[in-house]
Amino acid sequence: MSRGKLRILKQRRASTQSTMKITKAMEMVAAAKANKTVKEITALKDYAYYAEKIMKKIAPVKDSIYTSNKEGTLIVVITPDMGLCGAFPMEITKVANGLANKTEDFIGFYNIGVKGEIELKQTGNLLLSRTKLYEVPKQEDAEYILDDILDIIENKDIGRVKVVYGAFKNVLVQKPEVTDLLPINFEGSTDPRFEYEPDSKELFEEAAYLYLLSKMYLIIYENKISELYARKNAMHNATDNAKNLIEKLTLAYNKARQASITQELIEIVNGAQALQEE
Amino acid sequence: MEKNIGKLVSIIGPVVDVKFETGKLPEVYNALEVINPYTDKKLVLEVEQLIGDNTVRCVALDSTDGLKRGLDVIDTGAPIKVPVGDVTLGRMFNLLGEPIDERGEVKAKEYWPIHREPPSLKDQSTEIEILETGIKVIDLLAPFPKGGKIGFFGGAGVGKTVLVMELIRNIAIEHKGLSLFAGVGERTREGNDLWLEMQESGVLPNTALVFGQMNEPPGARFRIALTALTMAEYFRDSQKKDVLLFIDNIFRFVQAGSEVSALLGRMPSAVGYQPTLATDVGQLQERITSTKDGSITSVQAVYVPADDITDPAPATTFSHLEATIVLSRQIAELGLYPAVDPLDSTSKVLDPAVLGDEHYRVARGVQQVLQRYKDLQDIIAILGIEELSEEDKLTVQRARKIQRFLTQPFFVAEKFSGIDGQYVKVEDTIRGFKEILEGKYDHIPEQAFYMVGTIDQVLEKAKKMGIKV
Repeated sequence: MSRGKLRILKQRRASTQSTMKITKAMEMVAAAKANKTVKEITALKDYAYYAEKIMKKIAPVKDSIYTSNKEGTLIVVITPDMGLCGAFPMEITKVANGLANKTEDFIGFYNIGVKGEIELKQTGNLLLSRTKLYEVPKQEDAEYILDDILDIIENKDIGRVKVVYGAFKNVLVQKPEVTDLLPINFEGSTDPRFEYEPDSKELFEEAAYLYLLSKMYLIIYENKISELYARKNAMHNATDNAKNLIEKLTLAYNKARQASITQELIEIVNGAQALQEE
Repeated sequence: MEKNIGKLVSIIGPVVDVKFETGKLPEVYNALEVINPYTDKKLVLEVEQLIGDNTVRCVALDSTDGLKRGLDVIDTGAPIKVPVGDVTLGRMFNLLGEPIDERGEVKAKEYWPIHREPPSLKDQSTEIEILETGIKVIDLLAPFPKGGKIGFFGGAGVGKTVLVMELIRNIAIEHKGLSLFAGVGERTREGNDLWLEMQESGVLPNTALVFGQMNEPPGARFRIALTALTMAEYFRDSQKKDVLLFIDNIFRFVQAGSEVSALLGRMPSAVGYQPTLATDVGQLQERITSTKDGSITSVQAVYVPADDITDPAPATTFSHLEATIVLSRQIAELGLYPAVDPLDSTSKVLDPAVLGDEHYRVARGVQQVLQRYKDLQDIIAILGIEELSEEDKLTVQRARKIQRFLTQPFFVAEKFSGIDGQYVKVEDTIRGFKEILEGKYDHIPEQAFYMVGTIDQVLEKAKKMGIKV
């Protein structure tokens, strides 16, 4: 009778169950990774804090690429390489697109991460894209990205850089945020007692590079943590959804099964009774 | 000739046994007449079984209240005969061919028996031509062959009758042909509505209506379809015309057959249906065919008990039909009307050799997109739409637009929906879906596709919503 219906329900339930197994495992993996990564960020934050503090003490040099403030804005977009983290990558690219529309001297995107590449390619403004650079970011990766940025602004002869990334508010909230990378706009110290060796420009540029590096490193690191927590939350929700679906399918399956059993019983009993009467 | 008279020996509900003299037994399917002393009216019985001892078992075609044992029963010597020909047009009949519209007697030149042989294989027509219905989802995915049999399958309250009514309006009114309507075991009110509506729209002079609704005993509901069919056959065979035959609802025919079968004492078969289910359905359906002379295009509503399409009644009917339109509750629940399931509905003429390459490709393309959407639905439910690839996201968007574009406002529903009905030509239907598949309307929101006729109306609606077209 309704064997076909039963089979289909059973198959759907089985496939939902295996999906749930995966989402559950991914939730656990993401949680473990996130816990590990989040511990290391404290040291990074301290370093970045002191780098900024030192930077503020150095007298700025006007004719450096770090301070030129030339017309033209590059938007750096940091996105994850892997999916299954809910709306997280989409929110970042959405903010990036909104920012690009608002920025009058916008010249293009520099993207890091697979998810952003797909979305930003459609806009036609993608200057450069790097994917699968790192699993957990290291200092070298930050350096690599920073060198890319410096290359672009040199080639395009521009002076402004903004970064869009997923900031980590807390375990449940990860929000895209925009931060200015260039130009460096600190007052700096004009204390004449300081003497720069070999000269102030060289020192400033060296220090600025280190400062930007620490900032960049912190950004990609934070983005990574956000991604991991976003994934953990998304997978948690997916597991819940799958659970609900399985419940519904199980109920439907049991109902259909019971209906066919009842039907068959009625037929057998009626048949037997009819034969007895003959 | 001397009348062959028997005596009534037993009455069990609508089942009546009559004993005749030796050697004078009436044949199976012969009509017997008895005067009911309670109402003084003639009651017709139909012979179903010979049970031995010179006794025949009959089914009464009206109420048996008031009958007693020992009454005289006259054998008419032939099956029930009904009036056929032009006199039937514009009139309304019951199973016996008696007018029930209070417009005077029907004097026909010819009376035909309701039990007849189906046309032989060599007489059957092999030509295939498409019948335009003006309903997008049908014309695109399950086109009707002219002279074919078409079934509307659906559970309670998903819109079978509305769809049949709309088809009567679109085909009978726009195409101006001969049509017959058989009301089998459905609501009496619907018959009344149809009668009034046909009068209003002026198609009544080309139509004959036959009713054996819910209020009738099972015998009447079992045979009523044959009456309508016999009248249709006359136009096909004698006048060599094309006829439309609407039957609402063929399931009631099976249901009545099951009641009769149980009363006759046959052992019930699967799900309690009559053991002769396939024969009953086959005998009726085989007669509804098109010959070289004329055609009968029949549109049948098929009720699906408990939404289970594998139930023996709809399952047996399935195999006789050229096109099947499946109405689905899930789609009706989404508010998408007509609630035709685009993946389960099919037609034997959905073939590039009949429809042409473009129509075929568009129809299959639409099904492909909808199937993909259906496959993705579990993933969307679990992981969310963000996790889909760009390509799948686009497929989902287009599928949702297609789902909405498959809806259509009906003429017969104007009073309820307040939206003017739309008749859409096949070319317009194909063009619309083709352009959606091509991605021409990816920028238009899905609401614009809901309850409109052609794709041009979609664009108009989008403009009103403030979207640049």
